[in-house]
Amino acid sequence: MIKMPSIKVLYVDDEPYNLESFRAMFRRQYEIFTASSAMEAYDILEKTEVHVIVSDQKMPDITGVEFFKSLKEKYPDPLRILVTGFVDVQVLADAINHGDIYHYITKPWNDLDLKQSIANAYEAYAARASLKEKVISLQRSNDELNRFVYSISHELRAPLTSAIGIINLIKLEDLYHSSGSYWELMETCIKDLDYYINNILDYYKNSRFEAERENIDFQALVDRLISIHKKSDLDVKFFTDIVQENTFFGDKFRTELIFSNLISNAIRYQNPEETDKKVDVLIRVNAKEALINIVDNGVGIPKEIHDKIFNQFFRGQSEKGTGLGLFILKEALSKLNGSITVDSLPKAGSRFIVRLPNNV
Amino acid sequence: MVSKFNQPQSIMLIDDNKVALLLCRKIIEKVNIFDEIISFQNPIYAIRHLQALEANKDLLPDIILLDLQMPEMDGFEFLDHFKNIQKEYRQNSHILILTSSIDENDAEKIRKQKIVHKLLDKPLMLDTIISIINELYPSFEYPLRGYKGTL
Repeated sequence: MIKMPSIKVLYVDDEPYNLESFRAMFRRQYEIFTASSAMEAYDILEKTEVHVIVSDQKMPDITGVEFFKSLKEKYPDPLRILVTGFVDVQVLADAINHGDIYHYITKPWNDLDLKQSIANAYEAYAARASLKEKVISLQRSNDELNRFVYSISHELRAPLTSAIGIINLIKLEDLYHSSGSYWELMETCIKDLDYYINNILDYYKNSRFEAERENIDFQALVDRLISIHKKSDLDVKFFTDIVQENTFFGDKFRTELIFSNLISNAIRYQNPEETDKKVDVLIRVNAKEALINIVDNGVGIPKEIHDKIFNQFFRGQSEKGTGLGLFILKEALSKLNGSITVDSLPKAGSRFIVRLPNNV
Repeated sequence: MVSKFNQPQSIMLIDDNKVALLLCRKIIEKVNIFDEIISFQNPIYAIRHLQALEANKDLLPDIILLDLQMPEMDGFEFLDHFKNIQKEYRQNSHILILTSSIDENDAEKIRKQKIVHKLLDKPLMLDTIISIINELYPSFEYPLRGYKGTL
């Protein structure tokens, strides 16, 4: 027979006779500890991790309920069973309602009842303990995942940014066209990879973190994002027209994510033959909402696929991109209760209109 | 804060990654105004170097470009050590953080550091560093301003 883990039960009663009979009764099933006063009980609890505590209600220095109450802070785990000869319903009801006791047994106890009660208490104890363990292990794997994502964002991106830096130097030194279109192809690959990594990180963060309420200055936010994104195609000219009449409160991370995606798409889907590549960012902010227009004169989107572009892994024919950008954008928008519409004609360009509620 | 010296002469580059450090140096060389470019792969040596300058009452670099994630001592720890240098020696050094991490927590932590002039993302672009130098040293011109092409 497999040896069961030993269940430790502490019985507190000022009557030595009761302690003896309790021990005699249960010593075969449980590891029994007895105490004739609260003080003695504290000593035992200090040294031993007890699973179930049974206490008499009527003791000279302290009542069973008071004794249990005194344990809740320091020893919240053991389940508490009260044995009581008289029934003061109010005291009992309070104790149960406050979670001070798990069960109560009337005195003189019925052996079978008490046995069953202790068994149930231990079961509840074990269930709680295993739940606690699971929460801790879940917490641990969450932390690990966060650290993993953080290190990916750095370790993967660090060499990539170096590679982009090298291409940048090649351009500065006029060597970009020195090997046919090889450097250009290399640049495309590197940028796709960079874009993909950023997409994955954005998706992860968007799905994990709750929306916050922060003060957003659209001019500063857009200027910063443009300065980051325009590096990927220096030919594209940006024009901003931002009027912010009211303070805007919203989630900064997701708002940035939305702009980032729209701006990088506006650059990505430029028409290569266009000599005057441009992107307009128009924003009007009032007390109710931010109305955002991002307009480009790029390749445009055929009407038939306007509905599909927000689907996961859907990509335009140009085979650029990961098919994640607009999907993530839509997910982020739904967390902010915002909306997006698109108006586009092939070869003429696209206009994305986003509305974000102002959480003043 | 505008430097009382109107021309930046020395710059210190700190990055544990050899390639990133070299690239950064290349860009700085192209700016073509610094007499001295000192680079460190290990921030601990960079701090020692700065402490030695302070002890000899020498001028500290005008600009320090600092990476964030580094083993042994990261950018934040570097800043803590840097703050221990006497103010009269360090106040003319402008610190720029250069990072490939887009972590929002890091960005937030950097914004709280008053001694950091700007947070830049990698790779360092020639235009970016030029406009920052223009901003920090408004009265200094050489060709700088919008400077394009090789000299």
